[in-house]
Amino acid sequence: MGGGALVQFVDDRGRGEAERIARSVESEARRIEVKFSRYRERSVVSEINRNAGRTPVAVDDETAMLVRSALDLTRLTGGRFDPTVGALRRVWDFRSGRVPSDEEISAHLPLVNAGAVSTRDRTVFLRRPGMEIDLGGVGKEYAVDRAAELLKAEGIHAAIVTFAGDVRTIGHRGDGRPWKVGVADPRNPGRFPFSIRVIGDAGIATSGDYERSFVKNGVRYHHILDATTGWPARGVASATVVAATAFRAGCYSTAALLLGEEAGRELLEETPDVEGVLITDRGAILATTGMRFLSDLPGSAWESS
Amino acid sequence: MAVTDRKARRAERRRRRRRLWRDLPWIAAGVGSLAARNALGQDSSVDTRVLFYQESGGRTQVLDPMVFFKRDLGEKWGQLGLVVGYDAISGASPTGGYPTSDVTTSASGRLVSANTFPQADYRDTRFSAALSYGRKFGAHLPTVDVSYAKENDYTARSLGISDEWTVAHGLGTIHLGASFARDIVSPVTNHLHLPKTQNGFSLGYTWVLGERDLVDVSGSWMQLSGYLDDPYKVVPIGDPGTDTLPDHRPDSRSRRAIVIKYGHHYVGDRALKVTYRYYNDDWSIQAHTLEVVYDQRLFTNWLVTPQIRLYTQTGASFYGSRFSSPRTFLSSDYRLSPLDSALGGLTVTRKLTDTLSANLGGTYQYQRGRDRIIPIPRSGRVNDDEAPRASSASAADMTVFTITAGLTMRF
Repeated sequence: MGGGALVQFVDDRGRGEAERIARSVESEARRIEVKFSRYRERSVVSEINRNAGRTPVAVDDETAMLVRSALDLTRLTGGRFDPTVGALRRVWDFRSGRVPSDEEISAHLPLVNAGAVSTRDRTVFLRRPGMEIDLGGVGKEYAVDRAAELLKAEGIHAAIVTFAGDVRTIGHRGDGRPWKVGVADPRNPGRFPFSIRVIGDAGIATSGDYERSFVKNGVRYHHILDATTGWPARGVASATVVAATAFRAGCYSTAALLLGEEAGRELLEETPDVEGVLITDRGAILATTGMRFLSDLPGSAWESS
Repeated sequence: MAVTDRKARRAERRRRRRRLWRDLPWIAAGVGSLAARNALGQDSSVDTRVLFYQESGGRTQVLDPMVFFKRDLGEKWGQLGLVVGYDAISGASPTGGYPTSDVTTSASGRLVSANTFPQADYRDTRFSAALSYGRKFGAHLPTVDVSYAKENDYTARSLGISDEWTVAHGLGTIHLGASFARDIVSPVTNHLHLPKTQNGFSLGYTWVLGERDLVDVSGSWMQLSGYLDDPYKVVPIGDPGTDTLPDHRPDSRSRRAIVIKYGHHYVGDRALKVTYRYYNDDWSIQAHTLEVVYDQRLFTNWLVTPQIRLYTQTGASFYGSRFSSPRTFLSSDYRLSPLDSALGGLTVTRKLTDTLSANLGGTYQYQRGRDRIIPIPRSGRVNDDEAPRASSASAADMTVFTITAGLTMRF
């Protein structure tokens, strides 16, 4: 899944039991990674991609749910997010720092089309040869939630789980105080200018233009691609969202980043049970109204604590 | 007949001892100046080495291939040395920031929890080259060397001159040297070109104490001046430590070290080298290093070299993990903090042919900082017995693992 993973929980049944629970969480995270990674030959995602334009692939309920959720996100963003954006990764290489030409992007854009994904009768079918689905945009947050559900099923009432920057909390820190989650500064690596405080079941996710990115001639190119144009989204450097689950938070953080400063903030403001903060590429911090109860930003309930 | 046998055995033992002195790498690694003097006149050689270095917690990782070329041009023309290296550096380094959250959220980001310190990712490459030339003049072996290294944000250039002066009928050597470096620091954050100067001097003496023992005592002094800050480090100010100032250090530093080395070789293809180093500087850092290296030849062609190294240092006078208010000089760089480390390693060398040998080695280092903090105290509504205890942490805490593989060819 990339990045680091941390599972912390409070339990009084002894070290052996705690280690058993931690191992089961780890194996669940590995199961999801193996099942949905597009980099693994045997994953269900690779199988769907291999059969693009050829035949529908039978999938289980979990896979069908993730694909449908990704397609829901497509609708939420007016097509800017698209799980079939995988085809564009053939022309975007963020390690080499090469900017593709308009012609290269235009040639691959027809293969980016969520409308050509069929999910009938517990099958998934990419109707055009060469299409590639990528569930990385929702899979990591799903793994965080699954880990949290597993902890709850084990009777844990105070825990925090984070995989590669996405967070899910259960209960409090063990001493009654809220969990404190630092939010990364998109332009100053290693700095966390403010933090979010949550108690209870909450998911926190951040989408940003600073991972898998490069700057060329003063322009930043990053991996969150607007599927309608084939080019990276512009205007928002980082979107952090708090929701009931990490999965929901991840969907809305991606959507907000893709929609841009105004439409992104509006989406977060108007969606019930979702709060968020956008940091624009000019450095402005735009928070939804409810963030005043959830952060230590200036003027908020937790300021200077 | 028996007398002849004893003479032959004694002669063989003498030959073996001479061979051991010549071949065992602890001598080649340089017990004082005798190593350099003995090396001159040996065959030319090419050494290749690849080092892999990995710090724990996703910190710095280095892949460092190097080539050492030594060409013996004969007594009249001396000896030429060339070292070329290329490092690929990646990973993360603590910024000096204070861990003030349980965890952090970022885009596919690096994990930062309450017990891990904020880190910044970085990636760099470093090209380095050094050229040396030495030639014997009677009892003297003067050497001159120049070096150049280039990173994305750092350029280093240095000139060194030294002399090995054999005295006491070959049983002692005075070695002295001077080095001058003119570096340029070019932080990627501000695109400035900031000068840094290093002038160093060293003086030492090596004794041959009979057939089996060597002692070397040397002292060195280095004066640094110019831009000595770390442009990528920050310093937490106030409580809870979320506000930061840039790292700022004095613009001069005087470093002094005394090194004592003792080498002993045993009958039976074994040798021991013990090194003690005392270091201090005018930033109030004092350090002690004790290293023990043991060579054991096995069978005919194998050499096994275990090593142990213990290190401890005090912190700089202007170091702190967090400051209540700004000061003239301040740094939260863990490298300037009080810390201890222990290193264990093993190298195995195999002689493949008369001119070719291969070696493979590894080290494991455990480092622990003594400036320990409890980032977010867990106390409050429940009593202390019931509250989960937060562990203390230091940005200096880490383990380091290295693997080195090399091939040496003499010609």
